[in-house]
Formats: sequence, C-alpha cells, structure tokens
Amino acid sequence: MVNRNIVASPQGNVLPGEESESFTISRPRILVVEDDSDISGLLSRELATLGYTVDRVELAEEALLAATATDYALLIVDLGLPDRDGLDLVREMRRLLIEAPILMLTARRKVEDRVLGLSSGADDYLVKPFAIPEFRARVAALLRRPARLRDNRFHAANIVVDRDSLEALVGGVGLPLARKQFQLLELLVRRKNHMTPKRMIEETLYGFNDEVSPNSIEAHIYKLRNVLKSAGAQATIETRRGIGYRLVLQGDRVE
Amino acid sequence: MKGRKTDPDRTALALLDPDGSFIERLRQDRATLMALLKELADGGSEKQAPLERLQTLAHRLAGAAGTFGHGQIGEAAITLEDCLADIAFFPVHSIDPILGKASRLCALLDGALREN
Repeated sequence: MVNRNIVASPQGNVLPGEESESFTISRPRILVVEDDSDISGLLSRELATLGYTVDRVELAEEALLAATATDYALLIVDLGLPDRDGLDLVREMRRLLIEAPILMLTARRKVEDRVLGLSSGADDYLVKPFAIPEFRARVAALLRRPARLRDNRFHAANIVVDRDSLEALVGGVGLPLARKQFQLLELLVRRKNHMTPKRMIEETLYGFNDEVSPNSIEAHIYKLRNVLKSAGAQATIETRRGIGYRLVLQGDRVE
Repeated sequence: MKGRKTDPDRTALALLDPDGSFIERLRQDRATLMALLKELADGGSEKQAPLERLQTLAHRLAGAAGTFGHGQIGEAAITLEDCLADIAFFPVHSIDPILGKASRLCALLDGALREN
C-alpha cells in the first residue's frame, strides 16, 4: 500500500484528502522504498520539511506499481527489502524505462556492494548509518541534475532515439541510419515541432575543420525522410526554404 | 559517521526522533537481544536459529541507530554483525566472542534507555 504523505504548502496546512490537484502536481514527488518504518519515517519528515511530497512503500512490488503509475522526481530505494533484493528492483525499474534518478540506501558497506548498486542502475549510493545533512545534500544534488543528463532517450510520436545504445527506433524497430543521419534525427526529435536552422544542423553534424559541401545537409535530410517514411514513422520532416527544417508529428502540423 | 566517538545532544536526538518511536524500538530490541542471549546460553547444540535472528537484529540496528544519532550503538551493532558474518564463513565451536559483543551492545542500549 502506498502511503502518500501530503506536505504543508508554504501558504498553509493541507490535510490529506483536501489537497488541490494543482498543489500536488506542482510539488516534486519522491518515492521512499524502505521496510524500516523508523528510517522511512525519518526520511519522509526530512523531505517534507524540504517541501517535497513523499510516498512511502515497504515492498518492491508496491514500489514497481507506484513508480510505473507516477512520475517521480526521485526514487529512494533500500537494498534489503523483504520481498525482493533492491538491486533487482532497480534493474527492473530501468528495464521498464523508469528514468527518475535513484538513490540507493544500504547497510552493506563493502566497496563492491556500492559498485554493484551503481552499475545496476542507481545514480547514487548512501551507506547506513548516514548523517541527515548528507542525505539532504545527495537528494538536492540528484534533483539538481538537468533532465537532459538523466534522460538519454528522446521521443517523438513512435520515434525513439537512444543515445546510450546509439539506436533509433520507429515502432520498436531499428532504423538503418549512418552516424550523421542518426545525429540529425536526434537533433530534430529533441526540437520536435520547432524550426531547426540549417546552420544549427551544420554545427551539430560537423566540426570546425570539416569541409561541408553545399548540399550535404539536403542529402542527409533526403535519406532520413526516406528511412522514416519506409519505417512508418508518425512524423515527417518539413522544409522551410532558406530557414531550416522541422520534425512535425502527425496531427500536430504547425503553420 | 564512521569513527564518531560521541553522540549528539538530547536536543538533536529529539529532532531526529520527535515522537520517541525509535527509543521505543531500542527498548524492544534490547528485550529481544536479552532473550536471544538467554536462548544461546540455554539452547544446547541448536544455535543456528537464534544466531540468524541475532544477525538480523544487529544488521537493522547497524543501519538505523547511527542515523538516529546513536552512533555508539550503531558501531557496536556493526561489530556484532561483522563477528556473526565471520562465524557464518568460519564456524567455530565457541560463541563467546559473539556473546561478548552482544553484551557490549546491550550495555549501550541500557545507557541510551536510561537517558531517555
């Protein structure tokens, strides 16, 4: 069962069940997965003091349900859970494309345990016992990370660009793209529905010392269009002559 | 936290445990610890089950006590947990080292409970 702790707003107290939708949406929400109720209670109090909304669960299965249903800003996961190893839980979360940063808590003190935790998909690791000021600092650091550093997958309609695996997919099927076409698609997907000037494309694809032929960008666009069309992409590349290009999602045509 | 010799003052402890639930837990852990020590002393050859329960208790205390400002209890629990882990890998006939470390933990729990 998810224990949703609603924190007080700066304007006044909000009781559970009385919170307005806009209030809860506007506050970063953090999930604490910890079976030691004293520890999870302490962390929840600290996080609430810092202005976060906190959900608490004790089991890995509850954590999976909560994390797939809610867009958390941060997940705090204890390694020793009653129903499943915390490492397995973190791997499963990453497999399910849950991308929120994960702070792992554990009483395991060996270096190899910390390495294993981080390599399983956690972003940081805190060994119990810990000092509360250190906990606060680590939470702040994880929440400070720009989203672009946390998220290496970019989506536009049924197109996915994965910078970690250097794969571009349409409907889950890999696209046969050369390196420059991959970079071009990534740029267009990240700027979906926004005009991307030709100069920006040149700066992304080529270094200062590269020689760029006058039609090279057009040639890459032409090939990329054909690949996207063949794969059934639900987005097309629109040309604005003399300005640049724009990836337009089907049904989102911008005038 | 490691190597800390003194624990925070009572005001700091109260901030970490405002409703006293952790102190209550220490009280229960102390009672469990005493029962396990008695079981180990009286239990004849069957020591595996109480040793496992003792390891679980030490592990949980090792993680929580220091976080709640009871650093010395946490360190004593870590020492006990490490000792229990060593015995699991290298079985020995005598559990005296464990009893000694558990008694030290018990004394520290007594001290914390007296102050609260």
